[in-house]
Amino acid sequence: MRDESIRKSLEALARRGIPEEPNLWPRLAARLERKGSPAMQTKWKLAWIVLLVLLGLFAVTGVAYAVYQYFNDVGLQSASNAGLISTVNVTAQPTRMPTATPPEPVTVIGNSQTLEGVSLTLEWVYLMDGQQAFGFSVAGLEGGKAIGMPVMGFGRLVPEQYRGAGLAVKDNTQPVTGTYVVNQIVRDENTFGKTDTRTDVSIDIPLLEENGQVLNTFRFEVKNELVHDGPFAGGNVYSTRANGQEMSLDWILLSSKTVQARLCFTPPDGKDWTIAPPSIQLVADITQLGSAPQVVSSQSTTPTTENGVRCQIMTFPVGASGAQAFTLNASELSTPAGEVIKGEWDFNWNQLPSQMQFPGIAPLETPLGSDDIGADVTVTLEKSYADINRMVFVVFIKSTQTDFSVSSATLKDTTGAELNTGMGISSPPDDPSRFIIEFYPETEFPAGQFKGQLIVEIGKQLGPSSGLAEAHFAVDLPVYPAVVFAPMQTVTANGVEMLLQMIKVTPSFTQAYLCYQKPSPADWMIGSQAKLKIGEDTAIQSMSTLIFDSPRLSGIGIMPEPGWSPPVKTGRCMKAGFPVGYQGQPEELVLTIGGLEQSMPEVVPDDQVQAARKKLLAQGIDMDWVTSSGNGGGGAGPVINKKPDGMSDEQVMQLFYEELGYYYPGPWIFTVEIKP
Amino acid sequence: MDEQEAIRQLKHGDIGGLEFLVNLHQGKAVRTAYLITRDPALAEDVVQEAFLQAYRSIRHFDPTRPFGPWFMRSVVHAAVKAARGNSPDPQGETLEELFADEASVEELVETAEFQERLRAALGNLPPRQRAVIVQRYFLDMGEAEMAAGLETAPGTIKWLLHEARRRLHSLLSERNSR
Repeated sequence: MRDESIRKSLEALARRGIPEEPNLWPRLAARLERKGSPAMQTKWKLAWIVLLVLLGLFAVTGVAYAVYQYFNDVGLQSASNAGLISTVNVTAQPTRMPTATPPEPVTVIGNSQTLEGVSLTLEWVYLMDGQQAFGFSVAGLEGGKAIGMPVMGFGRLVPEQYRGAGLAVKDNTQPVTGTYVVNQIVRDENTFGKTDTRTDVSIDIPLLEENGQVLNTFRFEVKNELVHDGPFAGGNVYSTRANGQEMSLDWILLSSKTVQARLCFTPPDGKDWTIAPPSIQLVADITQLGSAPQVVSSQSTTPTTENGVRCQIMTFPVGASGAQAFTLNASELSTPAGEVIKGEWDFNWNQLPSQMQFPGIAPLETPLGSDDIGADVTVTLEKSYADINRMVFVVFIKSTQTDFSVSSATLKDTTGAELNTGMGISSPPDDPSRFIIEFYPETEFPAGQFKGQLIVEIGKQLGPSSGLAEAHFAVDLPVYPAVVFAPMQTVTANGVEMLLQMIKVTPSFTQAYLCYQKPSPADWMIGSQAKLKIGEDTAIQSMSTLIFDSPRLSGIGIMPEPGWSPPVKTGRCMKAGFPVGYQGQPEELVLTIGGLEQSMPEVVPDDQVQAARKKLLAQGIDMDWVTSSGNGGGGAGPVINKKPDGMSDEQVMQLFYEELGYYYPGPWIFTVEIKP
Repeated sequence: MDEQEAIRQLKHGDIGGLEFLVNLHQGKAVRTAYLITRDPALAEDVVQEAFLQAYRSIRHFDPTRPFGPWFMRSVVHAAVKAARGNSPDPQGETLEELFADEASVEELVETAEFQERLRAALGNLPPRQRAVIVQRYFLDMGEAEMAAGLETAPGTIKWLLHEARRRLHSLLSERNSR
């Protein structure tokens, strides 16, 4: 359904449901009269008095009261609204970073062959340990002839861990050019890590007729080619398991006119299973994957079976020019007898051969922007904020080019020593030129005044050229202290007692110290959906640290907590952090720990998943646990097909984890009145 | 009076500012809540509560920003909560049934029959999926803004929206190919 149709339908539906303009004011006014004016409420008066006192104590200079709502978390928003974010507005010209030694370029070949009136030139070859590639050009490709999927051989070396291949053909210009990339390990185990590996390479490139049949095959031999060090690159999904059935994307061929994909699976039995037409989304901007049109496969070859593996080549009537990423989705296997296996087999690729940069060779389709950093780029440190739990900086990159971003940042003290921190970078909604850089200390930043240097590294949003230049800023800002409360409140739920020992609150962040007895000897942690409400602001837990464990579970690391000693002799204590702050007014604090969780193993045995699914089906929940692997590692996630009305996805997941034994439900709810 | 002046008044405790904001935003707000709750009376209650909430938390509001998107986020959030507590529509058709005839969608959207079926079909979506459809298409919100309104991660919004939209797109494709 087209977006405009949905929009029109919703407009019409809303107008039909609410035909007259509502008039809410009389009822609202009556309710407000009963409540009184906010300006008159004692609580508000107190809050402002406390805030003014705090501001005086902090002796903030250069405070701006009207600041943008840059921040995604309520803690920073309320610190901003309270005027605790300092305006800096210092602009720096970034300086180019020293260039690393350029990698050895591809081997230029330049050999040509002519078959059936078509001339193909093997332009270059580049071998890496985890990925091998070559480029070619073709002339005389007429009358529906096309280039098929090549095959690479490596002499005596047998490739291992195949993770799919891609061929990009740019056939809307002359000469036609192509890049082939295959993800697999080519390694000489006898010499690996000791000496360079070299191998002979054979390349077979089929020339196809219009009907897809092989007309002839170009064959090239390259002798004694160096295999460079290099891991699997990118994040392309090769295989995915859904509903207990694995499927793999064997290869994909992306041309300017069509896309072809070879999908393979091992049938669950000897029946004539086939893949129902899958769909593909191709996008020029990876962030648009969710909204790109889906193109359904228009053609499929008859399945072929080899060594028990069944494969089909699907053709999609869509060109891939300019595409930077795709998602291919298959959702059904069926037999002629009407048996069906449903699933969500998704294959995401964000490293297409057409965009890949090999040393000395420009990609077929260059990403937006140039690779160089222009003289017009400036970086402005706009705002800064610090408390003992985090330091936050807002920087703005101004450039005539659109795709510069902050690729990294470091904090140094006045001696030039780098601070030991974690770091996060994000952009405000709808403002890709602004960046919020957050630093989290290993323990705490000392309260008082911080003087040092912020180094902002600038890179490109697209392509591998990150860290092109650095901008340096002198930093001198107040570090707000924490207010500490010690509720020593105990709550028992589902047979487990939990103690809220202490709460440390800064204007933007809160840490809760919780101790509990584990329900079993396993690695039970505070659930990730723990929630903290202070006044009207609520935040989900953003960090948690294990600070005490007795008896100590083998292999579990404990972060030392300076100046703190556990209030219990046995059990476990954790520090849970929430990006919600406190400005000093009397408020109610509600901490909700929904449950305890164990981290799931990377691979959950399929029989456990199926057993959990069966139990959930009895509760009206139809869900699947989908796993995938590719050249960028693996992943897993849920697909929820059906659930009872009113049940959230989070509730479904909790039930699923509970059935698997990884979730122990509470809830433990602590309510604390906090006062300055 | 304009919106900024109304907010300034409200921040100073003058409910005349709120009256201006109510008159300016109530139509869109009630219709938004209605699309999510499917109940006109409940929608009015939701929006009334949202205005009261805005009145209570106006101190957190940055007056340099437009009021509408900030307020609509709280309307959507409250409507989802209200919808979860509401019983499902027993007459509701599934989305699969929705596009089972032959006419083009462009013609269909103007017909009362289609609107009634869409209403029923929306009713069969979970409230959060319904909310993302309403936020995206009725309120023209971006994903980050939607995430803030539903107190969830942008990635989850992307996924929810993708799921809801994928079903609609695929259903239309099925219908057109018959």
